[in-house]
Amino acid sequence: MKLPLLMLIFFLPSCQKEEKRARPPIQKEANTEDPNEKQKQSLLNVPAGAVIEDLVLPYYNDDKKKVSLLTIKEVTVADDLRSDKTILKGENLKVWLFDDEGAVRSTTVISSADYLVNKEQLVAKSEVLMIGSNGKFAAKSKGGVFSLTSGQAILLGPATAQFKIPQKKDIEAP
Amino acid sequence: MKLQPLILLTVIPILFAAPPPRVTDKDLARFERLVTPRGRPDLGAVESYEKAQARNQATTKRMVDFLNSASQPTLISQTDSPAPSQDEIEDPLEGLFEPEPDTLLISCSKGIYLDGESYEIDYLGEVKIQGKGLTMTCDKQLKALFYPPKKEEAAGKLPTEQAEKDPLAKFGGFGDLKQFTASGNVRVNGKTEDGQIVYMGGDNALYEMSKESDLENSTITFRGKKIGFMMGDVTNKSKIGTSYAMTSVSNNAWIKAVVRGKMLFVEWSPTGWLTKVGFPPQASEKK
Repeated sequence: MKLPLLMLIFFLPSCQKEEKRARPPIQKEANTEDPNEKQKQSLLNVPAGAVIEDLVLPYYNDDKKKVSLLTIKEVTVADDLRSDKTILKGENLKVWLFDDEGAVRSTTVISSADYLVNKEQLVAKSEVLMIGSNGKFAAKSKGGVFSLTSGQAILLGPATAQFKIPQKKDIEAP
Repeated sequence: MKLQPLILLTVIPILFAAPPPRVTDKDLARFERLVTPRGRPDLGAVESYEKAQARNQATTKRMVDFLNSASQPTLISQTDSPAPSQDEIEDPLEGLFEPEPDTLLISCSKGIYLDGESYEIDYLGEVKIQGKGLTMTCDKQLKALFYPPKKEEAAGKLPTEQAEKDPLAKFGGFGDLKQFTASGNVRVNGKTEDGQIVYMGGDNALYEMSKESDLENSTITFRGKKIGFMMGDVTNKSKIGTSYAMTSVSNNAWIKAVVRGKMLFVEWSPTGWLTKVGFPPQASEKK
């Protein structure tokens, strides 16, 4: 009977130590933030109402190739009351989307749009005009969403696009 | 009594009265030539159609993931309002989106999806394409696929030194248009050079453009249920030429129209069609 008691006394403190040891990793997890997230937060460390001019945001993929490039002539930091998050309201924006080899595929001109920092998305609710870089494609719409990290875009309808195609040549019947 | 002269006398009138043979060897040879089954030119309708379908399935998932993250998950599934007409859209860039002889104009009700990973553009909702004398409509989705841009064109635009400094020097673009795949009540309307109406309709269609240096071809393939084809207007009694209309009764029918210059060639699946032929009214006999 004494032996189990002795063993209990011996093991109890060690169990308590285990509990104490279990906490620090949780705290550590909270401290280890993604450097990208940290950069995003630093961008927001300006008060609402602040105005930034000529903002340029390039995005690269894992292979260090360009995915997109966003330029904003004038950015106003604002608080979104619905989501309790800070958004950047931009005016006179341009978005370049690149293909998987880093060549420019399209250029888009937007008069005003919101930049969602956390999602890294650009949401336009005004006229959007997209021109293919070789001049053979053009599209316009009343709004759109651009994912700057993946190079994807949706021009919200009603939307219109135009392609230039080669002229047909007449041939004789076989 | 010699009977031989009498027999000859009776046979001679019979010989004169016998009609000439109605079917000559030449006629029989012509008949054989016409009814002999001919080798059908294989336009590769099924193969190209299935290849396009497989490609579409592969890229759809990426688009759906993006639409979810952009809070637009219902763009593909929700029912749609009627397609906007060109007149309803305000156009501050007047003239840029006007139909021209060398352009295709596409309007859609839900949106246009682009992806940097592929040379494709998706048009969602009610879609209308105008150009090259054809109007094509569909009410679900239209996917445009492009050839990759030419490298030499992209590289040759700027001098090397300038290209290195300019981050946007490597202009690639989308390349030339390769094909469209359309789904949902696809309708193609057009006119031939001599003014005959051409109509094609079905659930799914593939519109391909070849990239040949000396000849610009385009092909339209329909496959699936309820495919329709009409050349001329079979309902018009006062028409001048022969017209015909076809509708499929098979679930796996296909029809392929090839436009070569100003010529139109049509091939369709061998069985499972109802055909109606409209002949021009016969000219009134001269008195």
